[in-house]
Amino acid sequence: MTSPAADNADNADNADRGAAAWHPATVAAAAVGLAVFAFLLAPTSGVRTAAPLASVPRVLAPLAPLAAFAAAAALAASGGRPALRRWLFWTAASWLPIAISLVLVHGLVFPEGRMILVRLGPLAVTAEGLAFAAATAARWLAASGAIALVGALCRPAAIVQALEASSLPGGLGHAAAGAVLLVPTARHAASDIRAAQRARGLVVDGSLVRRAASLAPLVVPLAVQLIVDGQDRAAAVAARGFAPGRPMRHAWPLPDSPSQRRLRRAILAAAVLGIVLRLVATWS
Amino acid sequence: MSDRPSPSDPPLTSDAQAANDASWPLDEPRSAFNGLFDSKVLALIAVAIVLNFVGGEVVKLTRLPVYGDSIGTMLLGILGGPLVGAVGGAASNLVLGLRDPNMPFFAPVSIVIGAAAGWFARWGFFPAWQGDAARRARGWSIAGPVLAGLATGLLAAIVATPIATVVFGGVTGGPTDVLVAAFRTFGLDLWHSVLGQSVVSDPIDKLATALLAFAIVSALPRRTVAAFPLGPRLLGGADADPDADPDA
Repeated sequence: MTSPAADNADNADNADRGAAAWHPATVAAAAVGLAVFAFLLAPTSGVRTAAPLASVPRVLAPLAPLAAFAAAAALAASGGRPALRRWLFWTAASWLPIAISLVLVHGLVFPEGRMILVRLGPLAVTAEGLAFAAATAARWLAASGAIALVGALCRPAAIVQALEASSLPGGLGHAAAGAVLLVPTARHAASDIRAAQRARGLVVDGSLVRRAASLAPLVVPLAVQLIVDGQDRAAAVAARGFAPGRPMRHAWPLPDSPSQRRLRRAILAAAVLGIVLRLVATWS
Repeated sequence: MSDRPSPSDPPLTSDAQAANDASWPLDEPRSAFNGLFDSKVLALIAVAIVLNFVGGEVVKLTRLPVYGDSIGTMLLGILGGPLVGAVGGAASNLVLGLRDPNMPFFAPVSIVIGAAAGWFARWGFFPAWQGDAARRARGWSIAGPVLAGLATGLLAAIVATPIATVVFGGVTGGPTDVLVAAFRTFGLDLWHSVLGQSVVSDPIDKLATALLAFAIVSALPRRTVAAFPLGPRLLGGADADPDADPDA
């Protein structure tokens, strides 16, 4: 466990460094761009249904997920050690369960496989199955690393402010920002309800029927409390002149620049163009 | 002391809406989209996103074979209608992608779940139970949420199959991957194995979710239900009085 002084030093170190100093929308655009890049050029093998290679050069294809992952790692590292730690944790947390499942499912059961390495009764480890698992795991590694950039590099307050100031239609930016702010409150309420129900004798272990019966006493009070409180807050903000659909203007807007705005537009345009070209190449 | 309005207070929502309308600039035309998402619906979308996240965590505690990560989306559809359910469902998956990179890829599934729940609520599959007399009189109506949950699960399975196959290679890192492996041992290709797994597990999950959403809507105060776009319909008619005593 690090000391508060070390944490403060880390935070100060992380304040305005590298990609952590970017506008959250720029980080999100970079994440989307890297994920799309990894999927557009990703290699597959063995199963005809998974993202066919189409016209992508086979020499370059295996490098695409690794290149995207390396780029995501470089962006995370540019934000300093705390950002890199968060990025590594979230990437591993989302990638490992799927990677393990891929190896277990396709490594042991792959009817299309012809090159049998080990036979285990009705199961067989095939080279084709392992290759498919490895290719899919590599592609998902790049995608999860790219998407984890937003949470790792952007402070929650900056994400909330960016969402509130965004021009998402219908006031959705406000709703999304509200959700981010509400998560700690909801977790606390869920914990209180769980403790209260246990004090009343609720048991969440035991048979399937007993566990199913414990679901409603845990979820229903939480949902009712959140919805009723949410409506009280909605009435309060509406009475103070809140107009849904108009982006909020902050007294201290997040740092942004014309070059970042151009970069965002270029990345998103390239991602859309890449998807269209890939679909055309696949179906033609 | 509670600062919540008592039943005798005038409805806050009309005053709030009036203040909201008055603050809208005259030179900014108000689109149908903005009119639909008033502050009440936006607050519900925020709560639904949180419920999808925290509700899923609570469901995990019970170790039941369900995901429980679409309770909020289904509630959005039931209370707000198909468009609110679809848009809120997509927003939920995108926001929750900040913590779980899997979520944004399944946004189309949430769109279908939210829209389907909204349509089923509009067709009368989710009549809210309010009060003991109404509960006794409508005892049969649990069939509505059951059918709606199963049908929503089938629709979700159809939409989730190509995503799980192409993006994740047919697995999600959860217990349902065992089903995919079982179908593969029968010689089925990946598409059909993932479809089989989804058709088995998704209806069960959405059935449990629909019943939970139904219980939540029934437990909400009548005034709160009535404030949402589909509220009057859930309470038994377009002219339902939110302040009426359900047991009278």
